[in-house]
Amino acid sequence: MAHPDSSDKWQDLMAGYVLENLSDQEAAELRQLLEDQPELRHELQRYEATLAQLPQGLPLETPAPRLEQALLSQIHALQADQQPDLQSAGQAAGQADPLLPRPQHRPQRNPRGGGDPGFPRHRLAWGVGRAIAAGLLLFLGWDNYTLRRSLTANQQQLNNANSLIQELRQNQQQTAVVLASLSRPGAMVYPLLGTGSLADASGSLVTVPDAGEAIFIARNVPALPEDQVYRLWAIQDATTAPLYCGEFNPEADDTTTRWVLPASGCSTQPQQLLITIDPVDSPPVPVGELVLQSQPS
Amino acid sequence: MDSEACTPKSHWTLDATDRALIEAMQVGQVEALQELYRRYGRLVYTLALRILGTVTEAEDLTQEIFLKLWQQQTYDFERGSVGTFLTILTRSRAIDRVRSRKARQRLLQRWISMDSDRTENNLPLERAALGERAQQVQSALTQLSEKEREVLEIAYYEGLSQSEIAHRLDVPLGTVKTRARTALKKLRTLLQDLI
Repeated sequence: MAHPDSSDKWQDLMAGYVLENLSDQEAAELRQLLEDQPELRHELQRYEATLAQLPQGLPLETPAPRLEQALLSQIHALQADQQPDLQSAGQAAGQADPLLPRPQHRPQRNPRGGGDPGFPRHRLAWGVGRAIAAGLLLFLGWDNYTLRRSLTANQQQLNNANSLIQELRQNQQQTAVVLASLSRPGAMVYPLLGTGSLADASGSLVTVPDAGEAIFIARNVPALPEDQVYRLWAIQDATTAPLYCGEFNPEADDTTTRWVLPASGCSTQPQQLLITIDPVDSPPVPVGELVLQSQPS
Repeated sequence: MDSEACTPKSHWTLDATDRALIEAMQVGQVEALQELYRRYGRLVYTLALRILGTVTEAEDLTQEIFLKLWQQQTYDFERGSVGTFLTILTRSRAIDRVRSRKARQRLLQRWISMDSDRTENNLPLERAALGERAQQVQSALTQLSEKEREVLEIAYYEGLSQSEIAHRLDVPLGTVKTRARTALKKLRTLLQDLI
């Protein structure tokens, strides 16, 4: 195997590793390189750290102050939960030691058989009793500890379930907003089907004339690069030019987007609605590829 | 062990090192975690918000990250700075969540405006501490070509594979790989004082 000894080559491999885009052959080359020169692992870490600097380039957002309070409350609760565990376990272990039969107290067997005449039977029973009590205490302490741990794990599951419920509630609220829009006078829903390079895409467009807004529920409509944008056009009739009805760029494939319609003609039952991909700085005439369209009425 | 680790919490100052705070946190001092949150909470939250897109999810993940830092106590100074560790952890968990969200094929998302819960920046000390680093990173990013930055940011913030990026940008896979690697190598050079 060729040894990637030039600096540019190994830097390329490391960048590729951190970006998870190495081919199998390149991965093998990098493995070999790191075996031969283990000191280069530090350089690999520096590449990882470099990539991790990217968020520093974002404008910083500040979380709501209640987040810090919620975090601290949760940690205090965890601490309160753990301290009794440790105390119980510690107490059990600490108390158990003096109760455990020590070696020098163990009854010595008479080599000729029979019990030690100097070690009365009731003391033997007392020692056994103490050993059982100590064992029981240890067991209860451990049991308590494991129960607490199990409780903490359940609490975590409960927290996860609560997060999911919160998420579902949010979805419900969003759905309620769409449904509320649909109940507004004159609201219309237009199914749109993908075409061209977005043949797999689809979506539903809701127009609400009295609010002058549109809601687009997308399916497999990818986010565009910053220099491009989706534009909505309304066809009123065969003789007039398409009417510009706003633009959007979804953040993810399945996103719901809402915007204010720039012209009332967009929501007054056009013959057909079209969505194109246009350069973001192009004038409001359709020049880009047609990617979604409604059925002509 | 760093002597600062044994420093009583009442002796902390705002300029305590991250290492001192981590070590104090590892012996159960909640106030040390609180100070770490004040230093890095906004960075973690900003990244979570950038990837997840909603305030609710970003808050939830931020809380999860700092709870992990508290509970697992697996942070290793040899692997890089606290900020880097938290950033890598946050990105990884956020991308996992996005993938899981896609898998569930949620019907509607990101509806409520991201502005609703934003508050004004009121932590000038923290901003000053991170500001210089942020400025250097921002400056370095401007030295990448637009196409290089685009590929790097899609890969980083959206966790798409190189072939998914190639499909989205409608460019050959090799071009995506080259652009991303070139961008990262440039950043490595430009940010060498920070790393």
